[in-house]
Amino acid sequence: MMLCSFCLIILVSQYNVLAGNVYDASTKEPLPMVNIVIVGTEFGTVTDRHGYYSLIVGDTLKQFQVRYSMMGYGYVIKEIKFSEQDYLSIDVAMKMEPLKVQGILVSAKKKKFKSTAFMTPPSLSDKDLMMLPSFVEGDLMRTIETLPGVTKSSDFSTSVSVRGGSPDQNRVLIDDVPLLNPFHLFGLVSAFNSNAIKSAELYSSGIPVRHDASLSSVLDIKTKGVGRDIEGLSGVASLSILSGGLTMGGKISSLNSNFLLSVRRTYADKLLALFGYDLPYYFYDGYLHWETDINDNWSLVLSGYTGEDFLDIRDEDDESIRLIAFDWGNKVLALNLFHSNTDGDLFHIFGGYSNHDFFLRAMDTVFLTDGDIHVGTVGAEYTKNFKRNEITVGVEEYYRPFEYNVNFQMGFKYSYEDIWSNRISMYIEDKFDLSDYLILSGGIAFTHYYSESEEFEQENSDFFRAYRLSAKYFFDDLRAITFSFGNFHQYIVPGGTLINMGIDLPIYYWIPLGGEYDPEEAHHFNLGLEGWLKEDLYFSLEGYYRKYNRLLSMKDMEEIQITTEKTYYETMLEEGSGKAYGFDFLLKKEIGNLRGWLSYSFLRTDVVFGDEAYPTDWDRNHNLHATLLALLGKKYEAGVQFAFCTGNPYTTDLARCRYRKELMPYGEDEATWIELQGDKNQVRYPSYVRLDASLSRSFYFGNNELDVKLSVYNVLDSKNVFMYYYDYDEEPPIKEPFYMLPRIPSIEFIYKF
Amino acid sequence: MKKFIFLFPFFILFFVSCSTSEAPFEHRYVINLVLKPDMKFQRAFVDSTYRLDSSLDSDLTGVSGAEIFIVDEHSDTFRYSESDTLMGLYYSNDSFCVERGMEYLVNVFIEGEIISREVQVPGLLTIFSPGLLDTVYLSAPPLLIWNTCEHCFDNTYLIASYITGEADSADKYAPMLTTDTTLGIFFNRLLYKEKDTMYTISVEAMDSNAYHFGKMWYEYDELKEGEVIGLIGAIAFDTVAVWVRE
Repeated sequence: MMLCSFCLIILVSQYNVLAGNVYDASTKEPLPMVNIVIVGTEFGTVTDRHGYYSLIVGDTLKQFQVRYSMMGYGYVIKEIKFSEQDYLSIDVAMKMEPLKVQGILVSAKKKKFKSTAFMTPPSLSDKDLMMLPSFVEGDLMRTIETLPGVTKSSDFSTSVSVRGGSPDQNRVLIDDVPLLNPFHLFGLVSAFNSNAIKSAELYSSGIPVRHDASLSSVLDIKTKGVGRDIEGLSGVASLSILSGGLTMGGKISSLNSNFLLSVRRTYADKLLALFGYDLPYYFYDGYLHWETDINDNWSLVLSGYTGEDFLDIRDEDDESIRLIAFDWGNKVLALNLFHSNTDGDLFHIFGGYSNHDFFLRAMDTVFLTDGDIHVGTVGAEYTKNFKRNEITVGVEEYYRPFEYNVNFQMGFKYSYEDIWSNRISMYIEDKFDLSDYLILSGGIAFTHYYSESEEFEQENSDFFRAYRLSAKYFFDDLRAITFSFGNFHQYIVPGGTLINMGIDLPIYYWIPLGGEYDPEEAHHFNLGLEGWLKEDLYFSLEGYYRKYNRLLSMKDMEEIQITTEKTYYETMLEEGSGKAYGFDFLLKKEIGNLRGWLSYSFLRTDVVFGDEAYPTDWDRNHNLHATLLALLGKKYEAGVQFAFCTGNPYTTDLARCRYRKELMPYGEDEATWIELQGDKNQVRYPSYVRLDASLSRSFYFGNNELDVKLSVYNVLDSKNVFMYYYDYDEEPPIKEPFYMLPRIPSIEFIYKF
Repeated sequence: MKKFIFLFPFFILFFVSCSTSEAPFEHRYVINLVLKPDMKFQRAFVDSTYRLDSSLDSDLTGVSGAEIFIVDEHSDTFRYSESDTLMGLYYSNDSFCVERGMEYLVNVFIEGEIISREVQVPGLLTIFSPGLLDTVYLSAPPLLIWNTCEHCFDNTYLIASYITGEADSADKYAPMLTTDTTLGIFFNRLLYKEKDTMYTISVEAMDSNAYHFGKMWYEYDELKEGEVIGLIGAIAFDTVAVWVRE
């Protein structure tokens, strides 16, 4: 680009050239479409998608003023003076001015609304994440729960259910590479550092056919790139009561590249160690995002992620004895190569590697689980634009070797060391603008799934077909009705000893499907209406029905044959079916001083395993979320988030009895009271209510900015019930509630430089 | 459309108030009867479920008036007697000796109901190593070796250990399951903290009922339609006492 500018100078040597970059003063991101006008004239230009501009003026015009303006930002006027030189480079930082209408946001959404054949997926931007109230610190997954169709089973976990699907049925992609169990702190916070995220889109309907690896949804997360053409380093340093982090990015002109590096780590263990206390837990994560423009057509994006949690509890008397050693984490490396041309055609080649590791060791040798899943991904996709058609063809391959070892004390063990699977898919999609009022989109994917385990004497080779169809009919420029349906498959399911033991943590292990286990399968049907009530007020209403033809779930331990590893694998999963239906409503005001969204979801789920039919743990029938973000002048921002939902279902206790436990095989026993449970999930906890609030203030130091954000989670200290237990110190026993998270204040410091 | 939107909160309030109420109480009989070879008396407990919201004296629980009969493969029938001292406790007399490998039919009559279960007693189980009162060292633990037991369900054995004579200590030493007849890793430094102490090690073989009941110790807590709760089963076992030293 700079080269082009110099060429231009040579060609137009009788003129002067003013060029430079325009970027957001806060985020350092380039600003496209900024109006640049010579004051008092009609001459001007606009910045390109990289925020770059160049303006040619006659060599007689030596001194003048230039006005940089953009909706949503305060204008900037620069004094320009050419003396001897005929080229001036002026970079401009623009500050967001909330009083101005941020029409560009709406324009971008409307463009997507008009160009897709499915319901526009709800999305969150980095600014939403920054402004919304935090739980300890900004968290993508805790913000996702405010979107329509999303439910949860408790505050203790950031894993979510989308339209009735189980949490494992959400495919999380970070820069197009799948990430398994993206959680820290046993699920209390997610593995995504908000400072490194540019956007997140949640596809619960109209999911493209190339995503045929999860039954429920696709969460598409894009990491942040910084100002491509801004010289020097910029970034964010953050400190919360949970962790400290640093995010830095910048341009490397010699490589025509820019990069972003983000790291985060909890520090309580180090801090407490200074006072002689031992906290045996910490986590860290880090992102890398590298973009290079190879030439005008080719660009390359390299992304990396690593994150790990460590828990190491040792015996107080003898520190060499490890009571609990528990660590888990992910590693991702993704390479994307893009080729685009002026006709809008796009060629995309990608390759990636991700690894999920899981290690749990209890009391030295009593219990040990050690597992690794590796995923190698390669693929290519080509999108060709015709006059009314946009055709995409692609191929992708996922190679997954698994290693899983479980050892109990005294020799009982099982392992799947040699099991692996390979999934290769070819797909084609066509988006067809049938008329100005109707867009159709259809796709079909052919998948070959192969799994093998020599130890289990199994080898499977199956073909599966996925198909998707969606249509959008426009009543006018602002309203459309949408329809979509398709089938979905999932090739790995959660399992492992934690689930066997009834421990509900979102850090489960994953089991590859093979042998007698066919992939899980579901069908989605969606019918919706979306558009704008006013210029800045978006709404969507979508009803859905999901039929789960085949679900697989870990059996209770007593139903699994543990004689050999082979019998264990062959008897560990139970096949079931299910359905989910409901509708989601979203009303979103995206611009102005006061913005936010109101979402309401109605949901019913029903699964059948064996002879038991029951609603799922996350079956919250009514879910209301209201989110308000207020810009209070230039220095203050406030956020409020309110949730009011039906209580989750649970299995109630119907009676109690004396449990006679034999302590020794020849007769010694003791009797304790235990509760006897009824049918699964037939009653509900009380309604769930929560209000969160935040207030942040910005302090400016030249081009730098310090944001201090105060958040209070559960302001009303609502007593939301997590579970009940019985206190047998009294007779009759007292049913005591165990509540979810109480009021939790937090403070964050975010320094942008 | 706008009016419709404002109706949503009221709509939700209405539906949220329609929460499902608590399920009713379920009455079941609770029977614990485990046949064990070599025991002079066989015991059984007959009890029932109780309401969670009504007050009870724990010492007065138990169901009296039950009739318990055991029928062996030769159609000989043995009757249990009711204890005078502990309500709900029943025991066999010395004419009934449980034989290894034999099938029995257990019949329990309670207030007009008949509960029947077939029980297969596992065969002979003997610990070969270590020997009785051997001294074993944590630094060089010996192998625990026993024979393959016939009719042991799923070839799975339950191994437990505890400080000899201290029944409470059994809780501290989590029992383990294995499908082998030897144990490679046995003594755990954390579990066997009390050195120079006599520990008893037991190996149990279970029939199908005891296996499913005992494997995860949880099956007791689910109420299934029309089923009696508890365990009517059989185990065979052997124990050995050893001195554990550092």
